[in-house]
Amino acid sequence: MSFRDGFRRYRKDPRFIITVPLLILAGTSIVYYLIQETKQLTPEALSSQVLLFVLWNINLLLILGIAFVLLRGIVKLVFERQRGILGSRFRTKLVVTYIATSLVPVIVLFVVATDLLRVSIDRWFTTPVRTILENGHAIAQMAQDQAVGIAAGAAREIASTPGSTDPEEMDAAFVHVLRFHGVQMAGIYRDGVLLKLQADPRAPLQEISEPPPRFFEDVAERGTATKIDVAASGGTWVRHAVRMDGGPEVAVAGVYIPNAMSRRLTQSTIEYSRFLQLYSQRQTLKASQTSLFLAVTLAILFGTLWVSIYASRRITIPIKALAEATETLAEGGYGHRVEVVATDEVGRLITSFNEMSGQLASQRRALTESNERLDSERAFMQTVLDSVATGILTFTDSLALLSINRAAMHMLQLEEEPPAKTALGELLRGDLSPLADALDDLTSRGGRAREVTLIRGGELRYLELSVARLGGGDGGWVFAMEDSTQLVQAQKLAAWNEAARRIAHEIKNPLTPIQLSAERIARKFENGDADTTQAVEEGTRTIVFEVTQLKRMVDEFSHFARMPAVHMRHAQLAEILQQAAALYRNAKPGVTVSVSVASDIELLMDPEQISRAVGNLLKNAVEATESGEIRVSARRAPHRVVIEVADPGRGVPDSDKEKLFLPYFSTKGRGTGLGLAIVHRIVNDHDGRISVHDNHPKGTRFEIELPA
Amino acid sequence: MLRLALSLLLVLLSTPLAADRADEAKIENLSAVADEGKVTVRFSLVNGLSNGQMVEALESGLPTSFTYIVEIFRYRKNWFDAGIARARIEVICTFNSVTREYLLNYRRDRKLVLSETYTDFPTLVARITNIEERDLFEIGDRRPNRLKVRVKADLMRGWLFYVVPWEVSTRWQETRVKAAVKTP
Repeated sequence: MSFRDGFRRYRKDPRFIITVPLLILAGTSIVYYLIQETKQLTPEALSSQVLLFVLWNINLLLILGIAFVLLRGIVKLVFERQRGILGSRFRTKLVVTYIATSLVPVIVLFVVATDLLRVSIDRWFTTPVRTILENGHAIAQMAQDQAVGIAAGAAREIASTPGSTDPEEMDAAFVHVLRFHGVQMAGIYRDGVLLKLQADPRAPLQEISEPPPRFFEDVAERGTATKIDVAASGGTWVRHAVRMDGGPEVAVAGVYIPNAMSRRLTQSTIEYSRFLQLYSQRQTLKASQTSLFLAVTLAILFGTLWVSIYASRRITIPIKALAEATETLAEGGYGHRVEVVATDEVGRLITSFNEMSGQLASQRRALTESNERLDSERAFMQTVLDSVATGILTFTDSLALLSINRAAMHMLQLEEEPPAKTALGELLRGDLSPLADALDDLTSRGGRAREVTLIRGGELRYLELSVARLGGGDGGWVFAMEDSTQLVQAQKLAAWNEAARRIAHEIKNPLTPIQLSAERIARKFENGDADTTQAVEEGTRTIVFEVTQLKRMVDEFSHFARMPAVHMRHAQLAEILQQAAALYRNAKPGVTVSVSVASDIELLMDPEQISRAVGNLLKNAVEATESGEIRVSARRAPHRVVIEVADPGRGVPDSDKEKLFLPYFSTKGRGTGLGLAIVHRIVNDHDGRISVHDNHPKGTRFEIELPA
Repeated sequence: MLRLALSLLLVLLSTPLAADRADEAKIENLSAVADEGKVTVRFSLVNGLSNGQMVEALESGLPTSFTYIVEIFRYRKNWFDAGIARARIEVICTFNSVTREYLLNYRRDRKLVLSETYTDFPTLVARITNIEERDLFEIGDRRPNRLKVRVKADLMRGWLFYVVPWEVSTRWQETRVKAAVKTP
């Protein structure tokens, strides 16, 4: 494992983070100690210097640590906020709140505490203490100065002794100074070498060494020198030297301060020195104490900062996960779970979220399955609708298109499927507008069926429409269209065939008597018979009659062809039926006509046309009935009124019922076959329907349904 | 408002600096003489003991050090100087208040060169502040007039806001190395 790999592995290990700075601190402290030791500092000064160094380094490390953690946190938060990472704003607020709430009291405490400390340190050096120590020191100095003065007086006397080269005179001078000056030793040195010495036997002369060369150099330079030595016994020797007049000799006199006094003087001096040392180090002392406080403050801040970032991360991680999960959910990630572990209220929130997400996912699955099923069913229905020949269109209540099948598109000759929600008027315009009018009319008037004739692309089309309400949901309409063009054309062809046959037959019938009458008249004239005149009269009468019949038939055809337009208006149905029935009440012996209708039925219709239709039905009924009662009735039904004409006549075979309303179809020997065709046309013009049924116990019953 | 505050701060900072400048410690009388490939350096520290705190510390018996950093280098115009050698001279004084003696230890490059005692304060001050180092540097065959010597003195340690330590030092003083004048 390389150094880089090892560093990567351990750089986030708290033990590594703590141990490495401590080792660096310890190493630099030892180096600093070794450097300071060479400066010959006192132990106190040395320890103070090292302590200050250690504190300063701790402070430095803490400041660097705080700066690093703070800057790292700020940079990360700024980047996260710029990138819009969820939870970054909340984390920023948390960290700022943590730091603000801890920073202010800690700094205030630091400022107050250090100020108090400085004041208390200054109080150590108050005037009374200083005065006492200074006085003690001054007394000690005075005592020493007094000893120096005595030694100096004695040395000067020795140095000024005339004839100092005479040993006897010198001895006398030594005795004199020892006795009268009170010194404990006196001697003469030359070039640093002792020539003569006399001392008090009680003084511990053996405890002091010879003066150093520097002592004699000072004497040589300045004429005098003083040396103070502390003896091993605790006493103090005070020696003073004076250069002797006219020679290289130096006179030295010494005063011995006894142990008891010397110790006290020394103590006073030392204590005063310590006081001065302390006083001169007061700035360093304040600095060390301030650094100590600063270290504690920074440690608290560092801890607070670290804890705030850690705590904010602990809080925001689940919130961030929740926010991200919510976004994922909003983007359609149903079933997304938050996997962050939390035990508090946030934990419960996460559990609830996961449950909600699961439920949404299951509901979504069910909905998808339902939609797929519906799509399948819709496709099935569409296939079915596309496969049937009936055109199917569905519309909303506001007649906007919902669907159209292939057959409808074919019938309407639409090349493309129109878009959904296309309005009816927009879809069915131009050639298709009659269809739109019919659909609109059916929906607005409640009709159920209608026949519409279209001319689309030059082709004539007959469409049979039926309408029904869509059940459920928002409602709407479904239209079914049957293309009956071929059927109608076939029916028309058949009808025209029948009509041609009938017309031929009807024309042929009168032609035969006309031909026979004409041939008879011609034969009578040719033969000159006596009854020619009678034959002419009879033949002429027959021809005129038959021609009249032919004319009547042509008039009826002409009348059918020129059916007048319908003029709708509100009218009382009972009145119309009564008027129609009145014409046939006495038309045939043994046949009666009764009318049963409510007097309040009012309809939108053409009264003349309806009266004519009912009259035609009554005419047929009277002709078909030998005896009995013909009943005319009318009743209300949902969205319509039903008019019935029932007779007890011979009835209509089932095989004829289908052709009964075709023109020129007749079951009577000499009818034109236009009566029921006219009735059918009138009913159709009223958007109604006519049907024929067997009457019970016998006879025929016609039903006319008109929209109400 | 900001300008006013900045101006006030500048005045506050510059006032003690200006006050200090009058009795500022500095290196004077610097001379460097090369003779036979060796350079002798002489200089004086002026106002070295004008700081009351320093005298106070010295009189209290605390070891008080004066550290002189002497460097010799080749001067190059418009380019970085080329260092040749560096010497560290420490003069450490300790006052014995009982014997009234000043112990002076003289160290060069952390080696004790001289240890003396003084009873006379002016003599001591003269010894501390007047430095003469014979044959301090060896320059070999280098031409002396291309060389310079510079000196500064580290005097004591101060504290900024009682927290930040800083060394009280003189400014660097430099002089050209002169060749010794040969006397017949």
